[in-house]
Amino acid sequence: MAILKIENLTTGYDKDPIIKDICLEVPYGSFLGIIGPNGAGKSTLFKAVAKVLPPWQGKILYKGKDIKFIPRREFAKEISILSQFQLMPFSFTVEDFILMGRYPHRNRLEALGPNDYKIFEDVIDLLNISRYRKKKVSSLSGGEMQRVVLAQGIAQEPELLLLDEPTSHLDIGHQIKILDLIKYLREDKYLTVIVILHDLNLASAYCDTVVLLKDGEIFKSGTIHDVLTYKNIEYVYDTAVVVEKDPVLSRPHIFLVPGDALKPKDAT
Amino acid sequence: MNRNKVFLIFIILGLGLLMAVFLALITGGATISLSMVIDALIHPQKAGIGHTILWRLRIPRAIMGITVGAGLAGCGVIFQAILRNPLAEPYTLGVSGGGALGAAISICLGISGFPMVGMCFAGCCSSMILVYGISSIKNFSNTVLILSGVILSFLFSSTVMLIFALARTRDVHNTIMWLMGNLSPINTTLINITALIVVPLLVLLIPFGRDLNLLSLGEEKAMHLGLDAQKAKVFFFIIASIITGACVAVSGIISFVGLIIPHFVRRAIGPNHQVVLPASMLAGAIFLLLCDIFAQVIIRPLELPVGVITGIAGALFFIGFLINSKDWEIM
Repeated sequence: MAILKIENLTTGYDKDPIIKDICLEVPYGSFLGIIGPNGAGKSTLFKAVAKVLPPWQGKILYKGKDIKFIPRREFAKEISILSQFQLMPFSFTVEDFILMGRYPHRNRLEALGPNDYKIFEDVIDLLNISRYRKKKVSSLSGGEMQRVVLAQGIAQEPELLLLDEPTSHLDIGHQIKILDLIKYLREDKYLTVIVILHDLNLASAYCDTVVLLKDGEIFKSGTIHDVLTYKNIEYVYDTAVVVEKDPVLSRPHIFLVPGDALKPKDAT
Repeated sequence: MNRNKVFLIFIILGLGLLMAVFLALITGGATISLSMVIDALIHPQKAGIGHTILWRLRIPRAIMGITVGAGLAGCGVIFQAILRNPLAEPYTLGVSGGGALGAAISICLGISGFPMVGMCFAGCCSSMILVYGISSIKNFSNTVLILSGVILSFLFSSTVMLIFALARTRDVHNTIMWLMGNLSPINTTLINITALIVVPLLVLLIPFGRDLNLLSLGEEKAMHLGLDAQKAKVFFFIIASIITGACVAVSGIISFVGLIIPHFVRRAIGPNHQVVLPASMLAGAIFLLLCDIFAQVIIRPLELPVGVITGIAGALFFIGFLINSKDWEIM
């Protein structure tokens, strides 16, 4: 059975739909990548699944239940959504910020209990962030910030983890560290992970299956070997690429080709 | 945040409030000795000039100071959190502009007392309804809320100017005095009614501190963490506008309390709204009581409008605060 099933989903912001007639099944335990050019509808799809944007047509089923009918707090107990980090007007401490991940599990008049603090301690140990637990979130570096955001999501104790570009603005070392961490968490906590990635090679290295979006529709979905071919990528991204097998992982690796490299060279 | 530290903060603020109330009771035009104050408090039924002054003037005035100070500071916290803007304050969304128009109309028509306060409150509410109406078309986005509030403020203040242009000098002067904000007790019943509206609403808001935490992360993140962000925002906007409106209606436009108190409190104890909200209410009450004492004694036997004192003291404090803050601490 699929943990998440999207049936003929169409939605958007104003008048024109951004994503059209999307059908997708995500089995339990998948590591699914969503890729596609800017404006293809990745984030819009994400918002629809996150219950931020209501569907115009079609529906989204979580464990067989239409998410429209799942109260938002119940939803937040099972699904963590980490979108691109927004600046906060107030400087919460890392501790305060991560503990907000426990809010869905408590109602307004219930104070956080020992169990919540235990989960918090486990999470900061697991993600190795206890040394800056007292720091202000606004004073963290990009890599630390991304870990703290992830920690909040894990403190929610989700079954499904949705990530919108967890590696943006990170250097290659931090990109790998954060994705390794997500991969580890997925195995450790039996999570299902859906992640939007811009970097096709990272998608290839970490995801089992990918969905390639183009103009709000699914252009191709399947295993990385089926989707990440030079034909698909050249067509969808409108740019020349070379796809070779990665020598370490035996997965597709995409090489970019600058525009002028294709022009005939002068004879020398 | 450490539970003991929170406890300590509320002990300090509670004692501070008691001290401020006590000072407020012994300050005023007439000199009443300490023993008379205590006597009057213990035996409220006794007659005598001291008793009358205390029960008719000073206690209502202290109640008003506590109510308005706590109300404005609490609403300041709420508006800064829901609009995610450290410059927001209770008057940002135009509530005070509507109140000023209501006051100007009633003063020029010769209305005073109860009906004037009613007019003023109606002005506040109408401005709230207009802001609500305009921003509901655009899903209550923060930009639209702030812009419609600011534009309505301009509209109302221009209308007040129009009234000034046509009104008699004496009425204009009275309106300006009202606009400056004042805690002299107009009518004991009115003060009690206001306190009975504002204080329960403030108490009602205290458990919602965590919703303010979530909203301050941004609406989308708040939704991801299980909060119905738009509903919560509208709820806060309406309750805070009613509180602000009630405060403006009885005391005029007392500036700066709602802007600076939340900043000071956050600076002292961090931004967790579960603590900041009640602590700001207490701190606002203390600050306004102290400013009012100052306003009564500084040019004795005359009295300054307390809004002038909060404005000057607040601005000076705030400049010092800004200079002493690191960039990321300001917000």
